[in-house]
Amino acid sequence: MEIIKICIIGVVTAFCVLVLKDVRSDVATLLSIVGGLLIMLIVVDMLTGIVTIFTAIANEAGLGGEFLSIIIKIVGLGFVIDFCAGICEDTGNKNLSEKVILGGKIAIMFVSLPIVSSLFHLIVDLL
Amino acid sequence: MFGIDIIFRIAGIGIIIAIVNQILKKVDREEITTLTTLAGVIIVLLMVLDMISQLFSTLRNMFGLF
Repeated sequence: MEIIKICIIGVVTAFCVLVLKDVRSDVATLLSIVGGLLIMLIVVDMLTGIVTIFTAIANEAGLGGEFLSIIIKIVGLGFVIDFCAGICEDTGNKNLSEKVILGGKIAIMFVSLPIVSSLFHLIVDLL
Repeated sequence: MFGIDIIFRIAGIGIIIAIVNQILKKVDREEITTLTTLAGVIIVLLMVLDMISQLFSTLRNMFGLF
């Protein structure tokens, strides 16, 4: 059901931006950002559903709690980074969006440090 | 909660700004057009900020990001 709403919002926003492009170009870019925002809000609702189910399954199965929270954090980070990079690219400054993406990669790397260190200790114990 | 009406509202604001600026040009009040443009953009920005804050609070609660 949501996919229809997303498609409608996308098409309507595209045409409104076309109409506003020559009349008022600054409001047009804002409009495209709002369109992306609306779709993001719908997708976030779906994503929260997925995440709750995953955490419930993991708790039942007794899997590694902290690793799962790191994975979920990375998913959220990717979500935010993609959104902000898209906004920067919409307004036309491409290098800004690349900086945001670079910062995001480093943030993900930073968040996943515990996994790397625990993997390392595991290997050391094996040898 | 949010639907397509927000998009039409913002498009309407954009068109209204354009019309007001045209009228101001006809009345030879060029200097006021910059103010009306600024006002319109600020109104749209406030709406966008409201939605962005809701998106980020959802993300924070769900993913425990920051």
